[in-house]
Amino acid sequence: MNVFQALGYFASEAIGNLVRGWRISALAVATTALSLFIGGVLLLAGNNMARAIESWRSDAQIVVYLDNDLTDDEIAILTAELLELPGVDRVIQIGPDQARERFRERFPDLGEILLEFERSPFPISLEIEANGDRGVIDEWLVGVSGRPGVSAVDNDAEWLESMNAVASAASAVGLLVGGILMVAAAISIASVVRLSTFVYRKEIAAMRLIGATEFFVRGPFVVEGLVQGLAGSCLALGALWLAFWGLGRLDVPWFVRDALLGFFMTPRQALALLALGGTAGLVGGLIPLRERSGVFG
Amino acid sequence: MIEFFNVSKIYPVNRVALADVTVRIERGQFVVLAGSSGAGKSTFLRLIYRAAVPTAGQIVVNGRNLGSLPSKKVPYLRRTMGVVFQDFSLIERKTVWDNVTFLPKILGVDAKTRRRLAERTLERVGLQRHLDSYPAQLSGGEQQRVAIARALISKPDLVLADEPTGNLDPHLSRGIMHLFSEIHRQGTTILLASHDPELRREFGERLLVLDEGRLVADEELGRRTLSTAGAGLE
Repeated sequence: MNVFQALGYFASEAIGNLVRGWRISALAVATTALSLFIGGVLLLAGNNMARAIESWRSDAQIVVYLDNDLTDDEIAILTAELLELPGVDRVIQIGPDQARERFRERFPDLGEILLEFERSPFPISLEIEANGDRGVIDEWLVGVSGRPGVSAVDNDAEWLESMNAVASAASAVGLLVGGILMVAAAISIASVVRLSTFVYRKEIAAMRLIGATEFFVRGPFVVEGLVQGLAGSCLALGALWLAFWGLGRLDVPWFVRDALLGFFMTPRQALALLALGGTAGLVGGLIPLRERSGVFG
Repeated sequence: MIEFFNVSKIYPVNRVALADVTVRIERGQFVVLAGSSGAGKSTFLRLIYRAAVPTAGQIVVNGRNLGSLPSKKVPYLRRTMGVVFQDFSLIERKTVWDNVTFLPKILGVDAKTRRRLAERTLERVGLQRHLDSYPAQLSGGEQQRVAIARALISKPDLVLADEPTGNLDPHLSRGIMHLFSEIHRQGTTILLASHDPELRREFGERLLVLDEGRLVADEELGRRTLSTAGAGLE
């Protein structure tokens, strides 16, 4: 019997076992599916947050607010300093009147408040457009924040870094929880396969007596575990897609949409999820076959 | 063909199953193993198909020393012999056909040859009309015939049978023994453990008697070749 015939035989035996003991098999499949679903949710959240942060990063602003009594020469020196920094593309000076106009455009409902002020209450500011590595710029900003004439520094990169840390934490928790749940799934599958080997122990003995090699005796049980793992991962993938699709139809705030519902998995990630379920099943199928106390001991 | 050299088998808690047994069984013989329960008949057979290993001594089957046979090679040894048990040891969820053709199937024998082999073997045991039946749908005698067909399909030189008539009534037992006799006439070596004195005297060609693990008698039918006390004979 060649490898393909053997695999066909294993698959037919394994599916037969699963059908005969479908109740207990369904439990193992459900455990695997739940484990992968929870891990998948955290993975999706981590991925989407990372993507959202990247997208927000391109819109991130660095603004240095200056005292209004700073002279044009002092502002020019600061601007020149900034332009010399690597990564700085452009520095735009926004005067108090220009800032007031922007405020009116962006917040028309609040425009009346400004009528109370004779002169623009906004300070002069320098908006910095940067690209690439911001390390040097961030260092400069820390140094400049205490200089006379500089009233404040607003760097969006700081909170984006915080968000990035949250995304990384979500991914790490996803990996950890997913890992723990996968171990649970493998143990659950191992229990079902162990039960299967016990139920068929007389057949196993009969097969050995007539000269079946361990490859043929154990193969169906390994495939049984594999099929359970793959069924669980298919179920989890379907449930994830349904949840993603369903939540996407709800009216949720933009940042939730961006951070959680921006993108579903890439085909490679979906395949990885299937492979993870298959691996848990394979491990679960192999565990009872290597136990000294079991039917194969 | 089968040689035991000072073979002993002691199970845990010092239960002696076989003690210093030396015997040679020639190709083509019909040998009956006799002895009371616990005399060591099953152990004798188990050692030949390597379901157990001796505590001391050597066993040589067809020139192959079983003591130096790696575990991975045991299935290949078993394929050269047919084994039949009192409890039939059939695969309950498989049909007669699937039970009988299981070994050729996993050996990669093509479907056409498998069919030819199975039909011939099942006809030989008189079960050609029960191909699609499950073991539970057959009588004890029929189940034992399926087990014999399964043992014969690979055309083994040697058939080991451990109390094959133990679960059958006298009429069915005689039928099964006639079948073994027929298989023997075609050149197969038969080594059969039985506690039934009538059957073994009628069908056996050589009688080995075990008592508390010791070989206490070795007789040709009607002609004693190893004189012993014959203790434990039923």
